[in-house]
Amino acid sequence: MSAPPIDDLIAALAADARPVRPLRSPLGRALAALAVIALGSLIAIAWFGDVRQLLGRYAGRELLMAVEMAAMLTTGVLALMGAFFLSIPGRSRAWLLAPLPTLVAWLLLSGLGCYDDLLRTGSSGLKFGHSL
Amino acid sequence: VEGGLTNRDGIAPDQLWGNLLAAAQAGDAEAYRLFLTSVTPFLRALARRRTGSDDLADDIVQDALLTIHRVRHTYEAGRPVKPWLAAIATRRAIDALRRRGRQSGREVHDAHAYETYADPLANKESSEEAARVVAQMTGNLSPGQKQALELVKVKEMSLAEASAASGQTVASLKVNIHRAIKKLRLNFARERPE
Repeated sequence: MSAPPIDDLIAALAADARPVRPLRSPLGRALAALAVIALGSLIAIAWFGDVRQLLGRYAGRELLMAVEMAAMLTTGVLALMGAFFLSIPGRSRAWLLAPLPTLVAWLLLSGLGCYDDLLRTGSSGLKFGHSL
Repeated sequence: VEGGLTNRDGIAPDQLWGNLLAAAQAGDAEAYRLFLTSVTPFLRALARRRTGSDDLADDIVQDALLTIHRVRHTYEAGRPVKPWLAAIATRRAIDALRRRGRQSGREVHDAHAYETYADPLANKESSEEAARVVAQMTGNLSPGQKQALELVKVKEMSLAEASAASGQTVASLKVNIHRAIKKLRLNFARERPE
């Protein structure tokens, strides 16, 4: 009598037990990816960016800009880390929600500008395609 | 060795499974065989709990073992193995339930549909026609796909037997069967556009 199929399968898989290189920890891989992205971004900003003009746009609202940018960057970092953790079977699904709080903060802070316009100019501040 | 691996409930301590899997990652075939053998009851219990069906549980265990083989490099030594295994088995269980849902929704089994007359000889003409259609439909399968399909689905060999008979690995047999069936479905859809 032949062996049950699962025993056959296990024997076949065990016979194919080539050494494999274990993946590094998701945190380590996420940090490595972030380092590459950060380096690329810094080079791109140094090359193409106009930091002075950006600071000029936010004159008087530096704190808001700093917090908004921090929320934006944290959202990106947490989303990227979540992607690395979730790609491994059995890691916490809570990583799906990790970027959510900072995403909400980022959107709300971005919306503050619209709210300012509304307060200053009334309903005309809400026109689409119109920037004050 | 095997007796010392499992406790009273037939479930090995997580750490032991972790050590075996780490050894398997390094290429230790015997540790790998022990690991797969000792996690099978855990996978089966999980599959049964998810689906409530013994037949389906067997399919899920096989799929889960193949997945474990494919992603065994994603296990991080020192971490608990059970959540890793449970995630894999749960995904395969969901796949199996979806597959069953599709099949029961769209496929019917009617053994008599293939026969026009009770006397087999009287069906000669239609069987010739059927052979012609089958030859036409399998015309664009590669030799490996034809062979995999014939050994596993027609001759009903196990994957290991078919692997020994054909020289194809179990993984490539699975892939070939999957692709062959996909092509057959496409061919069939072309043959009967409605």
